[in-house]
This record gives sequence, structure tokens and C-alpha cells, in this order.
Amino acid sequence: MDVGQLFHDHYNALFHYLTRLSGDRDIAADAAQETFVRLIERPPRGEFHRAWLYTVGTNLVFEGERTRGRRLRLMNAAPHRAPISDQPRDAHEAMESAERRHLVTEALAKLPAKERIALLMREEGFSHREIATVIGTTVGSIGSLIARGLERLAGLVDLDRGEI
Amino acid sequence: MRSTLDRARHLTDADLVGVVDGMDGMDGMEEASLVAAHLLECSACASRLVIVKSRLARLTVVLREADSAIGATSPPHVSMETLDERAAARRLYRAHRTVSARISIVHSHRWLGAAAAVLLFAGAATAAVPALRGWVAARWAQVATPGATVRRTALPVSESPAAPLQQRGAVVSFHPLGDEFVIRFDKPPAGGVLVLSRVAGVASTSMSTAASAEIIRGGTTDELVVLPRELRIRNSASSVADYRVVLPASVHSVRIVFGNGPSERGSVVALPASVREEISLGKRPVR
Repeated sequence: MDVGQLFHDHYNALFHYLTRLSGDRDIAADAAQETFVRLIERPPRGEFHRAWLYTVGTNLVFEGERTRGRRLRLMNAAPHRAPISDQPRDAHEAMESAERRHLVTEALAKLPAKERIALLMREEGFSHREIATVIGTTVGSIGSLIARGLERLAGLVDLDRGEI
Repeated sequence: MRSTLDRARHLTDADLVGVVDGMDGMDGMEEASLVAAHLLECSACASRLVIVKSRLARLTVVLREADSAIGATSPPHVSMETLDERAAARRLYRAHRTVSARISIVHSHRWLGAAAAVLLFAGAATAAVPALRGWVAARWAQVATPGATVRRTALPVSESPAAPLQQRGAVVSFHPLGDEFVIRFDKPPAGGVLVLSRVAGVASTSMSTAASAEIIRGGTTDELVVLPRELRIRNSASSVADYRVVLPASVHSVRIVFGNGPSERGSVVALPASVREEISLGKRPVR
């Protein structure tokens, strides 16, 4: 198995998927890089499938979210100890960017994890079988997960009109 | 999908997602044919299919629009070499932690040391009294081989000398302070290579501030001593050992010094991100 070639072929796509999944570029970058470090350290036995990368990356993102959740709870408990971020350079630009980001990523974040993974992996061109491998469920249930996630998203973001 | 094969029932959205995805997730051609036939006959399901298809297409557009806002399309540059180095650094770190854990287990069992000391003292006291020693030896002989006479034999002495202390492969992990780090050789070595590398980290974790050093070839008598801003290599002038030092992203330059002179006089090696420098120690590094 040529890890260098796999990195070349899949790193960008994995980062893209993980950024959508987490809504956070830094978490996605960490998770994507960590996925390949684990591939170097403990490569999967037998034939390699790209779904392996997405399984590991997805798990790392959710671990990261749990850690971030703990950190936020600690900061809320002691707000005077929370770090203060820099002011944005351009307030208008920052607001627009935040709005666009919030509309979709917040809607995605409200979906149950399995529905979010199913929808986003489908967007990356995975088959229902591959998605089922990553989520750890049956192939037959993937259609239901995608349909439920889509219905929920349509209630949060207007998917039936031309604009969001 | 399965329960919807009855033509009297409408297809579910899950079935329709399968249709949009090229009959993905269906249990074979037979089911796919039945679903297709139902869609031809049922206008309600056909209309619903249009909605599901449109929503999925719209989702693709919406996600792409959001991609630029969250930076999903521009991954931070990272090289395969960097990830290799990170994996190597982690292996070293784990090896160091294993050794540390073993040491701490030994320290945590102080009672074991105390018990050993008591036994040693009792044994020495027993051996010091000839009458008692004879009595213990006689009792022991009776217990071990009933009926046998007590014979004193000299303890076997190992003919092979003790193995020399092997430094090669020993890993030292540490967290250097500051952005410049000094590597000081006691003596200018006759040869060998110093491999310097730097781990680029995105998040600030304990792993991303960890450094490690090891003797990868030769140098059986060399020693590595870690100071807060310095790694001291206790070597000899005839040493031709190879060393590997992995430094965290916080260290930007390394100063290599020979002997006990001031560190300001050493050769400086600047470390850009994701670099791996091999420095020949036979020729003095000059930058």
C-alpha cells in the first residue's frame, strides 16, 4: 500500500468532507492529517478501501466535537478564563461570511450524526454500501437516513426554492 | 426497502432516494423493476420523486456555496513527509512513555523495596552466624532432597562479561523552551550524521510541543543529556555515531556547538516548516 499515493488521491476530498461535517476548518484539518498519520502507524489489514479513511476521519471529528463541548462547558463555568479572540478586520465581511456559514452549517449541525454523515458522504459520491460501512448499519437503512436528513434540512434551510 | 413492494402502497422517500441514486440500496433487479413500474403508474410518487430529486440537487448547490465561507475548498498545505515525521515522533513519544510508566510503577511500590531490604538484612544476619547458617543449610537439604547429605558447592560463576551499556536506540523525549535550541557536543566527533527534523503542528497539543532525540547508529559510549534549552551529547573525539533529533514547530533554529564554549559561537541551522536536514558531523556544519 502506497500511503503517499493515497494521501495524494484522497487528502483534499477527505478534508472537504470533514470540514462540511464539522463546520470547522481547524478540526477538519487536524482530523484529516491525523487520519493519515494513523494510516502510516496502523494500516488496515487486507484490501484498502477509501471508506476506511472516512470512518477514521468521521470518528476523529466527533471525538474533537466532544472535546470542544467539554472545553466550552468549562469556559462557561469560568468565563473570565476564556481566551479572547482577535477582532475581525472587516466587520461587514465577517458578518456576511458568518451568515452564510450559519445558515447551512448550523442546519447540518442540528441533524442527528448518522443523517449528517449519510447526506455528506452521498455528496462525496459514496455508494449506499460504503456509507453503511462507515456508519455501521445496513445498506437498506441508508436511503431512510438520507431521506430523513433531507426532510429535516428542508425544514431548516429552504431547499424547495431557488434561494436559501 | 422492502415493505413498499406492494404496488397498492406509495413509495417512501427512502425508496425515492434509492431511485435518484441509480437504484442504490435496492435488493436486486427484481425490486428495482417493481419500483420503476410503480413510478410509471403512480403520479403521486412520480411527483414526490421530482421533489426529492430537486432537494438533493439543491442541497449540492447550497453546500458548495457554504464551502467557501467555511474554507472547505482550501486545505492547509501539509506534506506526506510531515505526516511521516509526526508518526515517527509519536512512536518515540510512546516508547518514552512506556519506559516512564514502568519506572513509575517501580517507584509506586515502595513497600516492595522495603520488603527486599528487610529480607536482605535478615539473610545477611543469618549468614553471619555460623551455627545458624549450618542449621538452615541442614534443614534446607532435608526439605529439598530427603535422605541426602548436605553438600556445599560453589555457586556457578558466569563466564561471559556483563554486556556494555547500549545507548543506541534509547530515546529521550522532552519539551524544549524558546524558539532556538542548542545541540552541544562535548568533543568535535570524527564523523557521523546529525538528522534534524521539525514536526509541523496545526493544533497546540502536548504532542506538538514534544521533542525527541536518539542515537540511531554507533555511539555505544555516548550519552544524551537534556537541559531546558539544550541537548548535550557526551561523546568522544573518535565518535562516528549518527543522531536523530525531532523538534516541535515552536523551535525555529538550532545552534550546533562543539565543546564548552559559549553557545553564541555555534553554527546556526534555520528550520523552515516541514524540513529534514542531514548534517555531516565529520565536516563542521557552517551556515
